[in-house]
Amino acid sequence: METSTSGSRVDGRGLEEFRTVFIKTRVLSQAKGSAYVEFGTSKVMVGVFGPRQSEVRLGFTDRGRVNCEVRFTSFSANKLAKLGQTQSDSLVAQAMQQALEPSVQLEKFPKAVFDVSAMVLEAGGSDLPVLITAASVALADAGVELYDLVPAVQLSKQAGQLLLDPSLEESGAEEGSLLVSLMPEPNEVTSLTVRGLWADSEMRDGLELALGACGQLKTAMREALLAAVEGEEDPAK
Amino acid sequence: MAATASSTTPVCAGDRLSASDAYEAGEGVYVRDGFLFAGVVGHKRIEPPPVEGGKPVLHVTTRGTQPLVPKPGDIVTVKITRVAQTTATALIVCVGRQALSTEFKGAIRQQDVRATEIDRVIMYDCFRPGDIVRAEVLSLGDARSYYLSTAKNELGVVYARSAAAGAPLVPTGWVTMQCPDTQTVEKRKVAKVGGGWGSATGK
Repeated sequence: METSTSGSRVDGRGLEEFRTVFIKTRVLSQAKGSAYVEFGTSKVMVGVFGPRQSEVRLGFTDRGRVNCEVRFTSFSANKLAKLGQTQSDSLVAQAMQQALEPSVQLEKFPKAVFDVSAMVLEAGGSDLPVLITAASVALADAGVELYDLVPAVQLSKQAGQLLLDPSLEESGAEEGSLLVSLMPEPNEVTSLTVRGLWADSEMRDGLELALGACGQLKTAMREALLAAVEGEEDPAK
Repeated sequence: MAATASSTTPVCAGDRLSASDAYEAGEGVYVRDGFLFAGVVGHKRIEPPPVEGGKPVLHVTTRGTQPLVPKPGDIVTVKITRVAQTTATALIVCVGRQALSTEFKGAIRQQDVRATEIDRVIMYDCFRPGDIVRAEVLSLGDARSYYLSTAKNELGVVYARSAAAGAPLVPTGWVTMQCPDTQTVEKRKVAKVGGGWGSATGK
């Protein structure tokens, strides 16, 4: 196959261009808050439940907790996966929890747990940042008090180029990857995951690209949440 | 009267609202580095200063109900699930006037049932399983449950059913309730809500 020419990708995107982003809130009636997010062919659904009482075995704590659970549907990947949570699922859930916890004002919910249930409907590459983004939108939709939203993006390093929001094929051919989740307003990174070999200058360029992309993504998240709020009566009136 | 200034612009969690010397932080707002930020997605609302010369209060209000957790000092509505010799176990179903999405466990200990004659409290004469009780959250308690108190006149059983007939009992005194069908008198720690008790007896 012909290799992609410099400055463009197989799917026609520029190096620093997102796939098509679609965010919708309030998609699950039984959840306190919920969100459906698509990044190209990556499709995830997240529901937030609770607050509920913490389990006794976890002991007393005067701060709340966020409990994340991720499931991949059996039809979400090329190879049919067996049902239930595999080891990689729980690793994804842990990474998601680490990214989200700093953004929630947990001291306002002592002894309580928020359950964030996520389902990957289609795994189209870069699933973890899509999950983090969707979970943050769902928490905001649930009315949970947050310090800021948490957009998350992933980069791929490939033949000396940095690719933003890699697709499944690009992830398969990458030399290294970088995942950043960020609270844009206080400018605090909530999680950073690096794989592969990165030179210092490459890392600096990658972080700059990722932080800029998080700002763009937060704009999309914000628009989706405000669209839902504008659709209802102002309670002050 | 001048209308309260209010804005219909929706704000998102994380949005910067104003400097902290212009407004006090109300519900759904937090302070960091001298600025007020929205903590939830909703509408901004400005309240006049509560004291003369004070600053207006800035709130962000959301649709529906916000996630709620019992706090010390809250008046809660609980349902008794189990009565032991020194403790009554309960499920907290409402905080104030708002129902909880999931129940939290609470416990009313013997020493917190009433303010007088603490040593002579008999739990089974104060609560029965299934009773609806108004209580106050004393503290976060332990890992298992919140500690609740009914040691005030307006706290206690507000609804109970007769053990025999199953009919709702009518409060007739501080410690008695009567079945309207069988006239049986049962003992409870009764809450004084609204006016006095039934016409049969005075206080």
